[in-house]
Amino acid sequence: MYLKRFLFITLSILLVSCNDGVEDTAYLQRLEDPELFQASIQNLTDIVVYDIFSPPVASRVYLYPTIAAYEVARKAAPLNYNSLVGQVKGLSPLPKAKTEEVNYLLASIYAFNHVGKALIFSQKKMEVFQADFAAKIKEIKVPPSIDKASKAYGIIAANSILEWASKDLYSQTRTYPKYFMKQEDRFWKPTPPDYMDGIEPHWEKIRTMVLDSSNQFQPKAPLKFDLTKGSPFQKQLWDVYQVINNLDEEQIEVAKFWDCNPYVSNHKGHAMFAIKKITPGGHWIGITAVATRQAKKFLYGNNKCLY
Amino acid sequence: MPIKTSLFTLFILALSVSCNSSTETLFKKLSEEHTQISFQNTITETDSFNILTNEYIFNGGGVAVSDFNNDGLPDLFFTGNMVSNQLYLNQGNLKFKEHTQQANLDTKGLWSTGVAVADVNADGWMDLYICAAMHENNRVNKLYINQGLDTSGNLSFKEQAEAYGINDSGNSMAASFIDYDKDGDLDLYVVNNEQNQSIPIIYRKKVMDGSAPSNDRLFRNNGDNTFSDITIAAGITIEGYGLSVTPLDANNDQWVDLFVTNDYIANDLLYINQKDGTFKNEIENILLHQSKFSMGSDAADFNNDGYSDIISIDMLGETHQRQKTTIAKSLFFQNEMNTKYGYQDQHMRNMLFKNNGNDLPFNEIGQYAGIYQTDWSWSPLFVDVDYDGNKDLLITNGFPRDITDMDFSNYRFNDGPYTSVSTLLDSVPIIKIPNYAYRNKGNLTFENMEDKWGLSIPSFSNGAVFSDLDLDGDLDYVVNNINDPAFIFENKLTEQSPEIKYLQCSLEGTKENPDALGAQVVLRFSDGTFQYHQQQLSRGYMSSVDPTVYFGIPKSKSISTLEVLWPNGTFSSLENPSPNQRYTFSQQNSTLKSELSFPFKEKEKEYLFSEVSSSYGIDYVHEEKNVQDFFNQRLLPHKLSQNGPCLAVGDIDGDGNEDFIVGGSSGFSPVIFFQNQSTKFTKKPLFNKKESMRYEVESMTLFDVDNDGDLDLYLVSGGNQFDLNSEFYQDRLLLNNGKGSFTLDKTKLPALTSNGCVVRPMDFDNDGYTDLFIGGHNKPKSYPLGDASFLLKNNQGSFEDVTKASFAALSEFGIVTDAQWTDMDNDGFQDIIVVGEYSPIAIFLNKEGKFIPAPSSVLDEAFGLWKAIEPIDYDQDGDMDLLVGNLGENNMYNISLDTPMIISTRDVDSNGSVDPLIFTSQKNSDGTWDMYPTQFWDNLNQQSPYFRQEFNSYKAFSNANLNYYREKGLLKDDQTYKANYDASQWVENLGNGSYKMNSLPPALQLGPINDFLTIGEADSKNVLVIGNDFGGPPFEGNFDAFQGTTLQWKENKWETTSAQNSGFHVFKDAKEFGLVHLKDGKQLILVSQNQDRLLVFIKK
Repeated sequence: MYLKRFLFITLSILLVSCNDGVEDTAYLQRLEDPELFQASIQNLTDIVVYDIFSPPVASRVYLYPTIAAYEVARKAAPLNYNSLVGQVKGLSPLPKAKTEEVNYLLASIYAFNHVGKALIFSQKKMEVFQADFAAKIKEIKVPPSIDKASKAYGIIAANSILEWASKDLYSQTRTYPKYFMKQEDRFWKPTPPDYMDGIEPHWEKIRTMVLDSSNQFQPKAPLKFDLTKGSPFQKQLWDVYQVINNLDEEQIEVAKFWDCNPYVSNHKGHAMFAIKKITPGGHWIGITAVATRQAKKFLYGNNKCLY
Repeated sequence: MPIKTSLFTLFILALSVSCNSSTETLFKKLSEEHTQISFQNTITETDSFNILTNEYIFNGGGVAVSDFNNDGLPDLFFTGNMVSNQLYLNQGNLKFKEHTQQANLDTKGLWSTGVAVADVNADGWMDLYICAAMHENNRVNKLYINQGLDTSGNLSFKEQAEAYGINDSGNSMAASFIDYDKDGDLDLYVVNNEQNQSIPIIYRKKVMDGSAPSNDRLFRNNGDNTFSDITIAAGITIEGYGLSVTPLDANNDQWVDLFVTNDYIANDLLYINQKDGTFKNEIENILLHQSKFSMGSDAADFNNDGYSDIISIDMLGETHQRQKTTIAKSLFFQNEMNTKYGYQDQHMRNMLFKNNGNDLPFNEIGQYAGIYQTDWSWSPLFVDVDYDGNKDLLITNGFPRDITDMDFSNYRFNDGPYTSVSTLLDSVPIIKIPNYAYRNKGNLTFENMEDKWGLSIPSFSNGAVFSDLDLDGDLDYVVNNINDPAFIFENKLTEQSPEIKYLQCSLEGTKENPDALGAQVVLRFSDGTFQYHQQQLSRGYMSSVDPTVYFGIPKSKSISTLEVLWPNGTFSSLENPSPNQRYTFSQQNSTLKSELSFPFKEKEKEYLFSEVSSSYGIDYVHEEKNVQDFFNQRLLPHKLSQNGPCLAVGDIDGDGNEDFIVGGSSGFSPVIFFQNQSTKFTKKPLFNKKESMRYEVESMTLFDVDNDGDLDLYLVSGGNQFDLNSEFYQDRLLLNNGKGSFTLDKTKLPALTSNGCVVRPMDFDNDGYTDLFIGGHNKPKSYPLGDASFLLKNNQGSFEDVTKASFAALSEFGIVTDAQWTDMDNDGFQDIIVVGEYSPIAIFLNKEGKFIPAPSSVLDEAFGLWKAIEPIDYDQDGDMDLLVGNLGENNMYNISLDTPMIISTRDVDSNGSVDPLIFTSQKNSDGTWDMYPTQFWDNLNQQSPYFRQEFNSYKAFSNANLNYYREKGLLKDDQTYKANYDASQWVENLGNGSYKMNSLPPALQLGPINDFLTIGEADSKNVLVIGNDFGGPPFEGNFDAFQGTTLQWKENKWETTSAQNSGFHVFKDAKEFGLVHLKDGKQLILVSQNQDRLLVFIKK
């Protein structure tokens, strides 16, 4: 319904503004190019890496911008794509756009970047990207009024998502007590070389999206800590120790492939420098990007592109 | 007329020309043209050999000064890393002649490090021992035996380390000749620093059996031109990334001990000579903490008290910009890991350890002295360069690639493993910083003089020595530089100030030990003071200093004797030597002396106090479970859960003898000590039930609640480990059954779930029943906000909270640390003085039961980190004066009236938690001062991501001053507390509500003061003082330099007696006093110590 209306209005405007004889609805096609979105998510990943987010926090940085983008983009074909309202906790419907000039695909990218910017640290990097994006939009000849309306709506939508995000307890947990080190051998201790604090000891308090709580999937308990020779724990420990000390080239390559530590510090004497990588979440984002490109589809859920 | 004018003009011109000499600096840098010294320790980096591949590439080289050609002039020898070592023979008038090739001393290709000088083959010519490092296949140490002058007058050397058996092939950094077994010949200690695969900052079990590659080596001189490696047998078995060794007699027993500095996580070592051929590392009990990345070191008696002090050097930058760009965070895992692996505490700053004699540990006063931050430093040398009688301190520093820059580490490059080495290196900043020079002011403090002395030239300097090179009396200074010519600084003192007095002393030892290493020299003055010197040459870093002994003589003093105690125990002396001369003493002319006096021999001490806990059956050790305060609140300046144990004294069982109770921490019961009829004590826990032991007892008082003739017990609960308003903060009242059995009575107290700190009983309304003042400590998890304090009125045995009605001002007070009742205005009603952290000294006058603040312009503005208050009429003029204990001045906060410490109470990110940013005055790179955060950027980020977002680099963070935070709304002036006093005070009551603040003497400023105890009456009134805080944060470390002191008001001033002279040996985390009267009339002075023994003293 909206689609037809949208097309009609667009055509009318085009007919009216036909003076130059340049009819450009080509921008609509260009806005469908999934690479526009791919570039935004890649930019977000780059900033996540630069800013050194731990995997749990990075997942949050990916979560809210992508939800914002989805909730906005789906408005271009609302019958084909269900809203997440009612499916994830606490999400309210986005405010409605006040004008029909809004291009929802374009608006979704504006929303994505706006939410992303609020969640990362290096805001200047995002601003640089946003400026590049604005230039790109000009390049593909999106009519200024469409662009303006889409941007304005993107920001309104983004702020609504950010408001929802702010209630997940993330902010409060920043100052909750850090993980207390326990003396007994069976408890985890910070590991060399950096002896970082235990990461996110209060993460189970963060509002979940779909799960009732982290209790919903109880993992099997770990082996009972017991260093006496022959105990299940000791045997497993010894196995790991043996393997680590006898790694061959292939094993090292495989380990490197799966290594998901976003921040590896290299120490040499008093020098330390960091080698940074994407988080596991970033890994899966990347895999999705590859998969959707290969399938020549839009980013979300491997569904057909909207047009 | 014209002639007169022109004469006048000339006169003025002449004046202005001659006036220039007053702007001349003490030292003048000599040009290469003049000295002909062209040595430069040039280091060239390549892609395969640079700071990232070899972290010791910039550790530099050393300098040795000795008369190698026996012509009476001191010659100079430089060690080079990539360049050859070089020998320069002194030609007089500060001109030198290079004599390396001709002397067979060319070492190109050998990475030379430390140098030691001795006449190894005892032939009258000084030899050179060179340490070598870096290249595994070319780092055998070298011994160059001086062949003397040949027939054409050419000096040469012959390398013979292998023949002598000291061709050590470890990664050697430094060496020292010492006669460790006092058999007359010189043995050799070599400091090794092996780089192995493991990263040197990783915690692991210490290797202490001698097997570590980085284990140092000890070679015993066999007396026949050979040495034997006796390392293991001698007990030198502890590993360490050694960088220097300084020999000294640390315990005045005439046997040489060794202070070894180790880089990275390895602890430093203080090998005490056991006098039986072995050494034992006793550093843990003698130095209470260490510098972390210890580089160079020195030992000397810098305060002229007859004991050799120690300095170790680290790499803490001086400016806020340097500190905050090179250190990302305070490491909160450190304390736990240290405990787990048995490492002693180490902190990143220069450490100045003051020797207090044998019965006490040294105390570390580098912050008080003002010498603790000199950036990446190498050589410290105590040397009296201005001959005022106090040894000054010269420190070299520099590092060509600032690889500690955190922006480089975390943010500069993002290409991961594919970035080329050269790109990597290019993004490492280069910091060329001038060396430091400090003038010793003679009062335990030093002042910066590098500018005034002309030594402030940006450089990468390492080893250094001092020597009177031109024989004009004063001490010149020579420095080995990387990528710059060596510095030769001529001292112009005797030229600029001809009235200066000094004395030089040449020691002619034995053939085997011509420089008399191990000898001790004392210059005594007619007023009883003296200067004390221990003769050792390995001092500073990688260097060997001048063997001549130099003394500066203060203008006001006249010399009485110059005395030498030779290594073999014989003695030489000279009466009334005239100043400004060099005297030569020969060991062969020495005699045996039956009576040695201090400082050659430890003085006979007549202690006024003795520790007698075992004599009275008082055996108590306080235990406490560690609470990780810094994990609750990241930005705390100190722990909040380690305040105990507290004490209370009274006749508990009604048998007429005073008993006492020691408070317990959470998980432990308080313990009662009953005094029996034979003045011995028996102990009994107060609680048996686990549930009763969960509370942490912060303060106690024994008092008669119900006027039934026995002493009941009030326990204040606190400790900061429970959440706000926890039931475990409820104070408790225990009623005495008259025979020493207590029962908890829950009915007589209102709800008091405040994190409490102190209870002081007093009948404030004169109604015959004892009331209570309860001071609240910090609001749990919300420091620095205070928790509630209370005034409890005793209504015939039941307590009512009358704070609102009678003491409204108390509700705004904040953190309380102490309070005392006293009648300040002599109106018959007891007033109360309350102090706390960031509080003024608050006097509240009791106006017939209602408390009102007594306005005092002085005390109301005296905001401090107060810890203790003691009203005392010290001048016996009828009104009460005050002693107020504070943090002390041995800290890095630069607190003053103009530059207070400011702490924010704001919740910056509105997430429900206080973000306590702390600001203090710190130096800028341009030399000006401004207010900056004390905390590091990563720690602020751990508190709130707000700070991570606010800045995008460590550099940006390091440039944001207090105004920046103010302008951004991150700091609001009305949501701050402050402290503008850190010095502990004595406050003079001038009458009429007027007071005067005065700082207590220096001995009382070396650490926090926790309690005072006044004993005696009138003229024999003594005040005992204890303190310390072993709950410091990982970066700053514990405040552990306070040692028990006694104060007496005599002749209109405070006279202090140190622990070493009084016998009041208290030097741990001492919290509270108790005074118990014994049946036989004696008094026991109790001192409680956190997680340590309860001490009991008796005064003679």
